[in-house]
Amino acid sequence: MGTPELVALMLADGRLPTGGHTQSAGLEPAVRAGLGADGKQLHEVPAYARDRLRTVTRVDAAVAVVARHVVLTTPKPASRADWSTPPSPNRETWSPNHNPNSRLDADGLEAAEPPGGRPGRLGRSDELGAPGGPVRLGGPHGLGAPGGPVRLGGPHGLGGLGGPVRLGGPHELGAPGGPVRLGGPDGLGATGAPGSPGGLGGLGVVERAWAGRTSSHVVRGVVRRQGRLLVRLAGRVWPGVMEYLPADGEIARPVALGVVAAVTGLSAEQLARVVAYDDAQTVVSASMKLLPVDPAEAATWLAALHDDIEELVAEVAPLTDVDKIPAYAAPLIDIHAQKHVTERMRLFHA
Amino acid sequence: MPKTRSFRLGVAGPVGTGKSSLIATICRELADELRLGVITNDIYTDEDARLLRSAGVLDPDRIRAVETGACPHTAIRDDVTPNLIAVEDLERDFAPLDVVLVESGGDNLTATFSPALVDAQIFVLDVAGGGDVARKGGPGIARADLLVVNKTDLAPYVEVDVEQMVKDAEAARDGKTVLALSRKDPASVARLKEWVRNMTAHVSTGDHTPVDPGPMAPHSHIGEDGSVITHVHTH
Repeated sequence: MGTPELVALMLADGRLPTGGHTQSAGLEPAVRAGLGADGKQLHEVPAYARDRLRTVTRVDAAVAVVARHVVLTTPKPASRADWSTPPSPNRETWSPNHNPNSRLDADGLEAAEPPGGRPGRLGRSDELGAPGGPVRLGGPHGLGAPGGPVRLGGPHGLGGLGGPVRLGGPHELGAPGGPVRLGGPDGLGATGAPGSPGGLGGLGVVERAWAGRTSSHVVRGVVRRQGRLLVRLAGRVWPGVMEYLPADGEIARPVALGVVAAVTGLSAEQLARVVAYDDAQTVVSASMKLLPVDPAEAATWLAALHDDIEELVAEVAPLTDVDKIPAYAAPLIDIHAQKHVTERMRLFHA
Repeated sequence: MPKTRSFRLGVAGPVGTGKSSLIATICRELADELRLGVITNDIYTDEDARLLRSAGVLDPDRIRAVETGACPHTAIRDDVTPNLIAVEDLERDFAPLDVVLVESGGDNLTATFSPALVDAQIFVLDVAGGGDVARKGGPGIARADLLVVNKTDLAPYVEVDVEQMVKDAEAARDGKTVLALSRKDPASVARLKEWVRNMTAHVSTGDHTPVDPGPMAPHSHIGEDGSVITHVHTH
């Protein structure tokens, strides 16, 4: 299994075969929308990475940390019984499309689609936004925005849309019949009630908390596909994770990372650092394919983000309660993602 | 092999040698007798998928594009998972498929498929790329299951001796199959069909073991005693 420190290095290494080369962390559509001004405003690249660290990536890191905690604190027999899946589940059974009671069909549908996307479906109002929960604009979650209000303003035009956004809490999303990907075929619907002992009361609720805070169904589809890639690899490299995750399941990557961390002994800090570093590195690496960037300068940007990364680590590492997962959002990143999926010429999946 | 597992056939080769049109030809010629699916990898992701869809040779839903983040080589060798998942999803959504064709984004002569992704692979060159390319060798040229020398109808215009080019290729391949192909030459298209048909049957019986052409070309270096040593690494 290796030492936790080395596992963390493996997880942070872009050469780990989990599809990292297909990702730009939203930089490609942002560049298309003008970020970097064709190379005349390159400082916007690290600013974009920093904005992510303060918003969406902070949410992802918090989700990973809480997922790790859930695995470590849930009695194993219960977790096995409730989360076990057939050896080769048909992914269809995870799709809410196959649940007649489903009121939410966006996730499974989009996740199963070809990368080319189906533009005709993107506009459906029931697929956008956090289902069930009212969107409340207002102050940041109880944890407080790091360094004051979330700053998304800046030369690349994230301002205006960038105020802290609080989406509906996880429990508001827990309507029976919602999309379930954790919990096994029998776990569809009813057993998804929040707070039920074991089962979906654990990782399933964490995944829902993540979904409720990730309002773009395109982003949810992307993050779940990346999770699937990670689960597939982790099942080979660290087989213990399969006690908690469905084989080939479409699980949000932060949740899958949380499980890997729990099984391999990563601390909450190491885990949060991996999530943050991976996201920043994804932005910086992609910038070299999208803009005229000197690779050495790119590495300098990454090094300059260390303080922001450690700030994130300090804030999310102590979390244990799913309700305390912050709900920062960056609406323009979501809008870019929604547009990207219908673009013809894409280098990156997202 | 599970019932839904298809014969996964990779198509690699440099940019512009005719990988997409080769796949279009295979679809056009064999769609009536084999259940086909296609995964494309393009640097500019869906360009090839669009070409195939607009060619009207296959149900457009059976043609999917996978982004490679400008890393076509990585997508077929170092990290095949995004492609693998796309293949498996296609096999599941249209089960049962006989053959899934995986088109690599055009790359250089060293790009070949990992056996973790495909059961067999075709490497495509064309006469317009120069008559000497086959002589240069490389893993795809030397050890792909089939080497196609494409666009033979253009040979007179680019002053390439097709016969010589095929001979060079055969020498580089130790007698493995080389197919001189032109869409305009029905006999060559028939030979391509026959190869795909035979390979499909061969793989479905479980008799075929995927072979990795390997990333390394046969190469030479000077030994300690000053002699020239030429060898091929085994993989």
